[in-house]
Amino acid sequence: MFKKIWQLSIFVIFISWLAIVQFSFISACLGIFGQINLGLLVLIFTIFFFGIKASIFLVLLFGFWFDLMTFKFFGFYSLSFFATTILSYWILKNWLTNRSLYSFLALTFISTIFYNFFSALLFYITASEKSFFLVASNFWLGLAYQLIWNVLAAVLLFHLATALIKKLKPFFLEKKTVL
Amino acid sequence: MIKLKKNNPWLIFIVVFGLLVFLHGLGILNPLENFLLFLIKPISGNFYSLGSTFNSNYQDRQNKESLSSRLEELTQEVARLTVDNSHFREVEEENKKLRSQLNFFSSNNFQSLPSTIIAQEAALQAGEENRDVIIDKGENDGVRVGLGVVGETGVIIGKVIETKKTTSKVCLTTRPDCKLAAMIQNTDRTQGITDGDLGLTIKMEYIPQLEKISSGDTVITSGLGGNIPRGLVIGRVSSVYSESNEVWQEASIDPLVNFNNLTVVSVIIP
Repeated sequence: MFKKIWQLSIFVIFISWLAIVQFSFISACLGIFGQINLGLLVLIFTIFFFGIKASIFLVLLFGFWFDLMTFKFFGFYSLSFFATTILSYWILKNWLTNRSLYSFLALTFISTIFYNFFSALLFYITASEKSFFLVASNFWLGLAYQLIWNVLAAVLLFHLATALIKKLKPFFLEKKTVL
Repeated sequence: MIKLKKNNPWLIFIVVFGLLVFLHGLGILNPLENFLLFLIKPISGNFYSLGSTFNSNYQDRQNKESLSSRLEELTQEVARLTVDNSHFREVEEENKKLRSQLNFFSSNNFQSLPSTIIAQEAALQAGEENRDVIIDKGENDGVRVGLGVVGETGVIIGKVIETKKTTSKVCLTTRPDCKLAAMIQNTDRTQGITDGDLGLTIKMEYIPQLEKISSGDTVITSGLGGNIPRGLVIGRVSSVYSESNEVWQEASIDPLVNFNNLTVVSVIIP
């Protein structure tokens, strides 16, 4: 029981810290550095390695922090992350049945594209933006930067995770010769 | 029939999220939200400052380091001198008027509220053009929509467009749709509206052809509208687009502040 509370507390502090870093530090950076999306990256990592329950908790917490701090309508980020979670989970269950690096990269790639399209569309509908995001060159450039960051970070995270956590190490079926 | 398990994560999300939106809408969460924002504001301010420093260091390395820092110093110096110059010109103009009038008012009769930038709104969205900044002062501190915001050198950097209890959103003068009532300090005292252009520069449109504008003229706020006082420097005219067959001419204005290095600003409360 104590262990669970401890783990939960660490998780809450880590996600809150991550949200503040994304909100303040990364938003202050320009160009390619400003396109890092820590929330999405950690979300995909959590879905892939820790399952749906932890992901939902992450979406609620990270989304709440962002909905609280930014000036978009309350629930904007929670909904965007939740929609991405649904899609990622569905892809993981139906298409990517193994836990290889390539599966992780594919999931990161698809989820990043979906998240950006969904959030931009939601913003376009709710904020009645004048210019449609699909015709804005900034959107495509930003998406390209984000894909580069997320795929690179996914490679790094995958190797780090498999090296550090025993449970996540891939296993191989070996042929045993029976005498 | 759909079976709903007790620990269904989707159901948990819908219930918790629905509850949060409902309580937020009713305002019941306000004390908690304000408390959390109060807790993170200092941390956010430091993180933003760190990001801004990282940003300027990265930019400095990209350019030649010594030249860049020298240019930065000179830019700040020019901005300071321009502010002083425009202030003196306004005082001179005002003095002329005061000689002929008995009733006068002070143009600098306003208060400033120092604030820290804690974030940029564009976070988490690919390529969002409108990099509005979020400051750590809100309705509780007397900030309201339409008030002007100046940088450390006194140059106006934008205006408040949205407020919450403890934070506010400020649009930068270079952002499209961030309009300011302005006046060019030329012989005609040309008045107009400035608007951001692609997030990089400022433009002033619909200026009658007869008005004489030249590069280097200083552009200041005109004070029309009431929320932003007169005399705050917006920038300097860099080029004028004027065709003899056109009714209007257009001026391109260079802002006298580097928006990427802003961390401390002041809200002008008239």
